[in-house]
Amino acid sequence: MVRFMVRRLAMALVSLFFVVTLTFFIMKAIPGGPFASEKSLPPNILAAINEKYHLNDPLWKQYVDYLGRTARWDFGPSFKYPNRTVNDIIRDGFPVSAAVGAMAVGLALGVGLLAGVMSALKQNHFQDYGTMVLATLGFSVPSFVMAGLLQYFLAYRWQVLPPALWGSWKNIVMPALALSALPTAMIARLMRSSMLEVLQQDYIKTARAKGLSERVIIYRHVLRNAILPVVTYLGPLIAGVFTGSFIIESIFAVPGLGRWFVLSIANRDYTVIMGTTVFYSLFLIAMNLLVDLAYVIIDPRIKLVDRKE
Amino acid sequence: MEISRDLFQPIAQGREDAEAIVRPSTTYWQDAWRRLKQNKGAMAGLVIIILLTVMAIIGPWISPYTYDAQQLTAEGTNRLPDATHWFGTDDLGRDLFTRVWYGARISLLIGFVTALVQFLIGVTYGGISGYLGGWVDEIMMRVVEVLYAVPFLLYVVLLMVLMEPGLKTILIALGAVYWLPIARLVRGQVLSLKEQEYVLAARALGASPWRIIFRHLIPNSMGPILVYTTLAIPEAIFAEAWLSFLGLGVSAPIASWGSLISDGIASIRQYPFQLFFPAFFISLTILAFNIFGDGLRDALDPQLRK
Amino acid sequence: MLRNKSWVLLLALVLLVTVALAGCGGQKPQPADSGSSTKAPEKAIVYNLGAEPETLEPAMQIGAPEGTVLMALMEGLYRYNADRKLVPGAAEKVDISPDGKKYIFTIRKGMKWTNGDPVTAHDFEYAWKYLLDKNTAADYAYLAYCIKNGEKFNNGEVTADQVGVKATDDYTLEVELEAPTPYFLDLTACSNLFPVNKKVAEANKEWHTRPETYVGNGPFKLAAWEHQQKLELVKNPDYWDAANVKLDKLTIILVEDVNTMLTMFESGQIDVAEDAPVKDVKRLLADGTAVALPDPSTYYYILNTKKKPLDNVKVRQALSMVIDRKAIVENVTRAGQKPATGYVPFGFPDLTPDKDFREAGGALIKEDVNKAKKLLAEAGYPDGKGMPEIEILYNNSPNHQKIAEAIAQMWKDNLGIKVKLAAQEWQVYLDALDAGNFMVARGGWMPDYNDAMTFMDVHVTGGGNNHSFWSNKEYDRLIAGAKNTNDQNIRIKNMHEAERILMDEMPVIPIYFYVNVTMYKPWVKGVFVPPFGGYQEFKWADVEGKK
Repeated sequence: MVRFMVRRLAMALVSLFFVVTLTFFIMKAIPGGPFASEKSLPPNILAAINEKYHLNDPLWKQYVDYLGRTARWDFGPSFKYPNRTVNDIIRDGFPVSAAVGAMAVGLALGVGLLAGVMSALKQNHFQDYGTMVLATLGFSVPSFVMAGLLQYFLAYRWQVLPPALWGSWKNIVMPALALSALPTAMIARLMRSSMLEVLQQDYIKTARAKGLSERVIIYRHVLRNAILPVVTYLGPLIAGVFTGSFIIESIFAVPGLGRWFVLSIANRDYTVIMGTTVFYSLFLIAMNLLVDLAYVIIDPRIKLVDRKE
Repeated sequence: MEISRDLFQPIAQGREDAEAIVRPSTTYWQDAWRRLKQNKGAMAGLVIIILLTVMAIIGPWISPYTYDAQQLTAEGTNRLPDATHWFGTDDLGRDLFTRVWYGARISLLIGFVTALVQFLIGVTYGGISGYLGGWVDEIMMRVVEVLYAVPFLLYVVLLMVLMEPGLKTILIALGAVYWLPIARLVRGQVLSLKEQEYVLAARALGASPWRIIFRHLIPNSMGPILVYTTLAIPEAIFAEAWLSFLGLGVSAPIASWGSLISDGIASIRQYPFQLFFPAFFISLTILAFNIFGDGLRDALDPQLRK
Repeated sequence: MLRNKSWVLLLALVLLVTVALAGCGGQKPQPADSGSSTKAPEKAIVYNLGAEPETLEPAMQIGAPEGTVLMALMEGLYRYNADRKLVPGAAEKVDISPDGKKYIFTIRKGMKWTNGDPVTAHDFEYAWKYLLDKNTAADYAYLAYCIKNGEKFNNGEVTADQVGVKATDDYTLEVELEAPTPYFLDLTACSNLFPVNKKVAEANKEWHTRPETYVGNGPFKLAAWEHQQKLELVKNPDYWDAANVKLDKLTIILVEDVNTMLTMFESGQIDVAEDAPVKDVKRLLADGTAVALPDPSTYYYILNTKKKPLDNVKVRQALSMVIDRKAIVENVTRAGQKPATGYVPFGFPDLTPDKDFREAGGALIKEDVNKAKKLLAEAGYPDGKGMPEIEILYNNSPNHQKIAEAIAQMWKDNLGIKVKLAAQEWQVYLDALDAGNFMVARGGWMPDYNDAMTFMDVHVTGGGNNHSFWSNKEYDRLIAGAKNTNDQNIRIKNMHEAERILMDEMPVIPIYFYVNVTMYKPWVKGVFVPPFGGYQEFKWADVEGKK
C-alpha cells in the first residue's frame, strides 16, 4: 500500500506537469490576449502593456515562469481584475462553490441511491418505472433550463426563495437543486443497473439459501458490491461540482469559482486560467486517488498493484 | 467370414463432432435479440426512437415552410401554435414545426455518433487499462486524467481556429473528451470483475486477454456502460447547443434541438411554447433511449442467458 | 467485520467533508435586505450593474461598469447636471485662451477627499500624468493625447515635466493643449481624467482595491465591496454639493444574467437596471417599466473592401439598399432603436451645440430593392449569378445572431445571392477583424467624446479601427482639415462632406442607432444617463412615493 501511494503521488506530479504544459501551450496558441478590445489600442500603448505584464518575453521564459508559480502556489494577479490575485479568487470562490456542490452531491447521493435501490428491488413494477421516468427527466432537462424553471416558479411565481445572490442557506437551495438533477438521475440509474446485476450473482443465491434475512442480504452483500460504478462516478463528479458551474453560478449570481473557469478563457486571463486549471487538476487527481482507494475497501479482491511487482 | 482390416473405412471425423450439440445453437447476439423482443418497455422505446428518426427525415418535408424562411412582421413573429403553424413561430417568424424536425436531424445524429464513439473508444481503453493493471493501468489512467483536467473550452477554441465550423468539427470536439469518463468506469468494473472465478477459469483455459476482455469482462459490465452511453446522448445534444453558441457548431440559421432550447429558455415569460416543443421532444427521445437501454441491458446480460 | 467498519468509516468521512464544506460556505455574513428597507427613513436605491468592475482606479477604467461606480465616487473638473448639461464640478470656473489651446481651471476651494485631505490642483496634475505614464500602461491614455506632449510622454519620449498640465498653486490648474479641442471640457467629465489623492496614492499603490483605503471626492463613498456580489455606497457628507445629494445609500449589485435580473426587478429587489431581456423588452417599454433613451452609438456591418466582390462599390451599395432597417429594429432588436439614416448617430453637436449633427446631415441611406438589383447587375452579377458566397462574421451573442440571420435572409431574397453565417468566440472574432480575415463583419462604434469626430476619424486610411481597409484620399483630406482647425464652420462642413462620401462608398453599412434601455421603479427619480455616457448618474437621484 505504501508503495502504491508513493507511486501514485509521484505520478500525480507528472500528471500535473502535463496538465500545466498542455494548458499553457494551448492557451498561448489560441488567438487573442488579455488586453484585446474592440477598439484597437494605439500600438505604443499596447506595447507598454505587454512590457508591463511580461507578455513579450520569449515563450519559454513565460512557460518557466508559470511552472515556477505553480510550484510556489502563487499564481500572481489576474490580468483582467488587477485588484485580485488568483490565490484570492480561489480562496474566496472555492468555499462558496463547494458549499453548493456539497449540497448537490449530498442530494444526488441520498435521493439517487434510494431511488436506484428501490427501483432495482421492484424491477419492472410500477415503482420501478415511475422512479426511472423521473430520473430520466433529470437527464433530459439541461441544467440551465432547470435553473430557469426553478427560478421562475420558486422565486418569481411563489416567492418562497430569493432568486439570486449569496448570503443565507436559502441561496444555496436552488443552485444545488439545479446542479443535482443530472447526477441524481445518473446515480439512480447506475445503482439500479448494477444492483440488478449483483442480485443475480450466485453468492446472493447462496446467502438466500443460507436463510439470511433479505435486509442483511441487501445491506451486507448487494449494496456493497453494487456501489462500485457509483463510486467511480463520484470521483470526477465531486471534482466537477465542488469547483462550481459557470452556468448555475451566473444564473443565480453565486460568487463561486465556477465562472472563472469559463470567464478566464473568454478573457484570456492567463494567470487565472493556469491557477484554476491547476487547482481543479489537483482536486481531480485527489478524488481519483480516493476512488481507487475506495475500490480496495469496497472490494478487497481488487489489486491496484501488480502481483508481479 | 473373415473380418479384415480393409473392410473398415475411417469416417472423416474430427474430435469436435463427438461433442456436437444437437440443438440448433443460438449465438449470444441471437439470444439477446430474442430476449429484447420479449421486453415490452424496450420495444416501446425502440418504436419511439424509430418514429422520431422517421419524423426527423420527413418532418421538414410535410410542412409547407422551410426551416429558414422568415416572416419579419409584427404578426409573423412569435405566433402562438395554430392551424397554419402547428408549433407556432419563433422571433424571426420561422415555423417552429419545421425547425423542430430539422433540428432533430442534427441533434439525433450528434447524439448517436457521440454515443457510439464514446462507447467504442471508452470501453476498449478502459477494458485494456483495467485488465492489464499495474503500470499500464497507471499510465493509461493518468493520460485520461490529464485530458480531463485541461479545460474543455480551451480545446474548443483551439479547434475553432484550426477547423471550419460544422458537424464534423463538433463530432471531433465531443468525441475527443466524451470517452474519458466511460473509460474510467469500465476500468473500475474490470478491476473488480477480473478477480472473479470465471475469469480465472478462462485464463486457465488459455483464453487470450483480448477474448477475456471482450467476451467476459465487458458483457458483464454492460449495465453501467449502457447507463453512461444513454446519458451521453442528451449531454451531446446540449453540448452541441453550447458549442454552436461558441461558433463551433452548425451555423445559424440551421436549427438544432440544443439551440432551440437555449433560445426557448429566454422566452419562458413571454412565449413558453417556444421552450415547450423542443424540450418535449428532447425529453421524449431521452426517455425512449433510457427505456430501450434498460431492456438492452437485460437482454445483453450474460447471467440471464438461458 | 473489519471490512464493514472501514465501509462505515468511508461513509462517515464523506459526510464529514460534506458538512464541513457546507458549513464554511454558509457562514458568510447575511446580506443586508437590499432595497426593501421601506420603514427606515433613509433613501436607498438598488441598482444592478451586471458585471464586476474590473478596477476602481480612475486611470485604468475602460468600461461602462467601472464608469458608473467611479461617477458616483469621484468628481472631475466638470460634470453633467440633471438637465444633461455640462457644468463646473471640482472646478469653479475655467478661462480659455482665445486660440483655444490654453485652459486655466480654478479649483473649488474647501473641497475635501473622503479622508479629510483638501482636493487640490496637484491631485489633478498627478492623476493626469499618472494616466499618461508609460509604466501605468493605461488603455485609455490616448484620451489625454490632446494635452501638450501627452502622446510623447506616453511613448517615453519626453519627461513628465514637459507635459502641458501644471498646478501653479493649490487651486490653479493650467492645461496646454496640442491643438484646439472643442470637446476638451467634456473630456474632463470623463472618469479617466478624475483626480487622485496624490498623498494616498503615493503612499499606497493599492489604495483603490479596498473600501477601507478608497479615497474619493464624489457624492458617495465606498462602504463595502463584496466581489461578484455587490458594492455599497453611502452619501458622502463632505462632498461640496452634498446639499443636492438626496440619496443616503446606493447598493450596486452584480447580477449578470438578464433573466435573473428581470425576476429580481419584478419581485422588487432591484430599483434600477439595464439590459432588459430582448424577448421582454417590448412589453416593458409598453407598460412604462422601462424607458429607451437614445444612446449615441451605431450598429453597422463592415465590408472588407479588399475582398472580392466587396471591392466593388456597386455591390456594397446594393447590399445596403436591400436591408429593411425598420423591420430589424421593430421585429428583431425590439427596444426602440432608430433605423440608421447615416453613419453618425443622433446626439452630437452641429455648428452650435443646440443643433444636431445627424439632423443637419439629413438621411444619407436609401433603401431601394429595384435600384439594388440594377446595381448588382451593373457590377456583373445579374440576379446574384456568379456572385461569390458572402460570409457574415459576428461574435456569438443571440442578438448579433438574430440580426445576422435577418440580414442574410434579406440579401438572399432580394438579391438572389448566397450568404453564410460564421459565429466566432469574442477574441477569435477580434483577431479575424484585425487580420482582415472576413468578408462582412458585425461592427459598431461608441463615442469617446462629445463630437462627431469620434466617429469620423475611424475610417481614415490606415486607421487602427478601420477594419474595412477602405481608403479615400478626399475623405482623409477632409478629416485632416477638420482636425487642424478651431473653426467650427470648417470642422462641421468637412465632417458632413466626409460622411456623404462614406455613405456613398459604403465601406460600412449602418443598421441602427442604439438606445439605452433602463428600467426604473416608479419611485426612482433623478437617475439618468449623461450624454454619450453609457453609465447611470446617481448624484441627483431621489426616492419619492415609495410605499
